[in-house]
Amino acid sequence: MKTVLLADRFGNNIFTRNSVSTFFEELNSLKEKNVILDFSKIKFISRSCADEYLKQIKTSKKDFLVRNLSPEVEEMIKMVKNSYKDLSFVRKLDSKGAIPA
Amino acid sequence: MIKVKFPDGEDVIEHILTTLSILDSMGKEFAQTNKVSLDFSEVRWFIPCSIILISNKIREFMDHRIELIEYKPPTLDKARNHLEKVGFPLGNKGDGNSYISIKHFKKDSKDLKQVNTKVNELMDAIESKLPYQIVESMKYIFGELSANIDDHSEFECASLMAQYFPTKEIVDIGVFDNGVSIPGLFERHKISFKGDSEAIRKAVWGEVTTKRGEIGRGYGLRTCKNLSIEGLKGEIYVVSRKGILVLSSGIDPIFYDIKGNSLQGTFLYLRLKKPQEKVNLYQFVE
Repeated sequence: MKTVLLADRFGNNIFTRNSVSTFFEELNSLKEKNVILDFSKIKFISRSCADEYLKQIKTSKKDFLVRNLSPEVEEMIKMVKNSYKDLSFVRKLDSKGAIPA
Repeated sequence: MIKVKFPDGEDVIEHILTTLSILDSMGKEFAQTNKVSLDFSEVRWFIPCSIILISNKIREFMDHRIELIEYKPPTLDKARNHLEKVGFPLGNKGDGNSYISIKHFKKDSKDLKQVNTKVNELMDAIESKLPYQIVESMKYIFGELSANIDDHSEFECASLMAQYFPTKEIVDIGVFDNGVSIPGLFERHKISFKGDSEAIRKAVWGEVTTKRGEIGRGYGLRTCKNLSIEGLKGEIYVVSRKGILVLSSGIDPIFYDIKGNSLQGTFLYLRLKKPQEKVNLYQFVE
């Protein structure tokens, strides 16, 4: 299992879709099937990035475990997820906003 | 030498129209002589929107191998010192206690994380200079504006600037990209509109998106609008090609279609009031 610290790739805030899609391209090329996404130090994610993140999670063949989401980041991801009319579009998050592996 | 004079008052539209005229003169001078000469000696007052646009134009000319830039600073100490502080005319890496000086960056098409990195640097720098009540909202607004630039504009040079005025308790933010403009992008995607200001309205209201058929698109600017106007009781000015949209708390939106000079690119200028309490931005997220 590979652990990836998002703050190392993005800085403290996740602002652009391009940065998220590039990040997932890197993740998808990893040999490990299971990846832990560690959100420590990530203070903010924009709405568009939360949208891109959920789409990338959905289409990736990897299994992700999400850790250390701040309340703000968790809130944004939940809001975007709830905005989808077709809820089957995204994987269900657990009570901490994490995506079960 | 181009004589620079700005309006005395704080009418942002007047300042923008004056600046468009200056940019036009700069373009003509550069085309004829491969140099630009600016006389700011009589400038006594300016607002950041004008400065960021003129500075961006100079950087654009530098990328096109301008031979000479002549700049006569204001004779008035206060105006001259302030221009120096914010990094005019070429931009500046350092920042002050209440402002982020003009930052320019050229598009690096090989680095898809470039805009994210630059905006992170800016937010890290500005966070401690702003009232805590506004920080998270600022991140949202800056984030969505920059994401739009990154996604759509095909810019060569983007510029950012922000300033907090403690006595007036307002924050001014300017974001400019010299890309294809909103009307230009709509034309490419065969999205119809009557005038350039209508194209801006359609983009900001999220009525259309160039990523048609994709769920989750078109919310960013609309949420920025609602957060800035309803949450922060502020003003937003969007200038793109010949269109101007003004959104202000408590009044109907104002649309202009400029008859004279147009802007190559898109400029977003926000004046936000410091709220008494922290604004819950999530109540505005759709």
